[in-house]
Amino acid sequence: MEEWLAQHPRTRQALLVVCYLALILALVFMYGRGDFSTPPFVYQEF
Amino acid sequence: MQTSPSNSRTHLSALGIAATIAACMVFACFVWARNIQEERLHSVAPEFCDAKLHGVALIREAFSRPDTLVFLGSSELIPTVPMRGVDFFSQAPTGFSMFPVGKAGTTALSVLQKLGGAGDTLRGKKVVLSLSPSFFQNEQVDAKYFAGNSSKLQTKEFLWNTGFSEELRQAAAQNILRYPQAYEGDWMLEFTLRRLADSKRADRLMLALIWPFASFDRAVCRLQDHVEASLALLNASDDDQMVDASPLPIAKRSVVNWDELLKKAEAQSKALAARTARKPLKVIRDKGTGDSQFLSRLKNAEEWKHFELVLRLIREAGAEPLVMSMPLHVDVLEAQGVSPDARSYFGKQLRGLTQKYRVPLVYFEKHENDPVFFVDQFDHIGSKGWWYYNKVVDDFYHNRLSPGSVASL
Repeated sequence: MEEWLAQHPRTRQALLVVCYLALILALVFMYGRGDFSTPPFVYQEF
Repeated sequence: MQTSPSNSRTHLSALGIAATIAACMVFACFVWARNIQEERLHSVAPEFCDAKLHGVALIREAFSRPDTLVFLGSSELIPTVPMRGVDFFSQAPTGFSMFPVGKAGTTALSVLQKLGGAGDTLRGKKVVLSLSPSFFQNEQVDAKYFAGNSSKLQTKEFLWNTGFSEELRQAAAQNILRYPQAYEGDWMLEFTLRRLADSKRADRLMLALIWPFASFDRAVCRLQDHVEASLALLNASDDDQMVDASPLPIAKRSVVNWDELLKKAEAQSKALAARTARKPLKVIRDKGTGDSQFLSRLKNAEEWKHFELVLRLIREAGAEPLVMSMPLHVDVLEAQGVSPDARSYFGKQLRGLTQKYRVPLVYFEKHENDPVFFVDQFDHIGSKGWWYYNKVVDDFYHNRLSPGSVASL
């Protein structure tokens, strides 16, 4: 596989881009969601 | 194991391309979110979702629209009684719709965060503040109320907005610091609050040093907020099957017959009161015997201090505000032995503060004894109360509010 990739530098480059992009997107999905929830809240009179 | 320079270059260029693609995707996501917000803002008007109440994107969008009036209130916004403001103005019968912001326990300090988070979009914009007198009848603001309404994003946006004076932001920080739940788990916010609250030379230097990181932090939070807001709008639109809340064309707008609506609202309020069959409260104390306790709580209420900060913020932001206050619950206070003289302190203090900041006030003091103005005894107005609110809001939006028109209500 490594040999084949060494013979096809453009494909290697494209695969690397896909890998890095997947990594960045995974990080965004893991940590990127907003959290606007507030602490537990009990409204006594309602 | 060694990495050749050409191999490192390949990795670096791949990372660069991937980062550029990711940045483009993020930008596309931002554009998509903005479009959704522009198209569907009103679908979320009657909702109480976090993206609306604790974010900044939707509130800013509402302020930026000339056909939308932002109405900041608290639990009175929740009961679905006929004539409720958000429903009454949902199809913009007179050319605008209402965008209520607030939920149960939204006291003045939370309002300060929401308006501070709106920032520059406030300039020149009309805004209505609805006050619940019960918040002014306790010396301390209930920490649970503030915790449930506080927003970290709004606070950061407010505190880092140099358009507001340092004195105002310092006073706000000092007050917010008293409620640790409002900033726990967010070191950046806590650091900002503490440095701003002290505001010594060293504190200012530290704030200046951290500014780039704080700006990046807020940029990420704002992007998240846009996405969350758009998802909330899509959910609300699905639930409502895409209610079109855009203003009716002028030709289709009907003339609102306010007198007819008042009769209807009174009938609805009476019917509701008959259904609940609330018994009159028993007077348990002699008149005047509850005055000193009532006045002590009222005069020392922290809420006045927070409300004054809101008025200061509004003045600094250059907004055009209207303050509306419900009457006191006379039946409850009379049962506690509070005399009319003592009760009048609330109105005096309210008038004094609003006059100090040249903010128009509509205080429905005349309706203290109206048994159907409220729907219960917890500052929740009924159909009749909402009729008065809607009339004033409509007059305010159309620049018809005058001392004469207010006196007749």
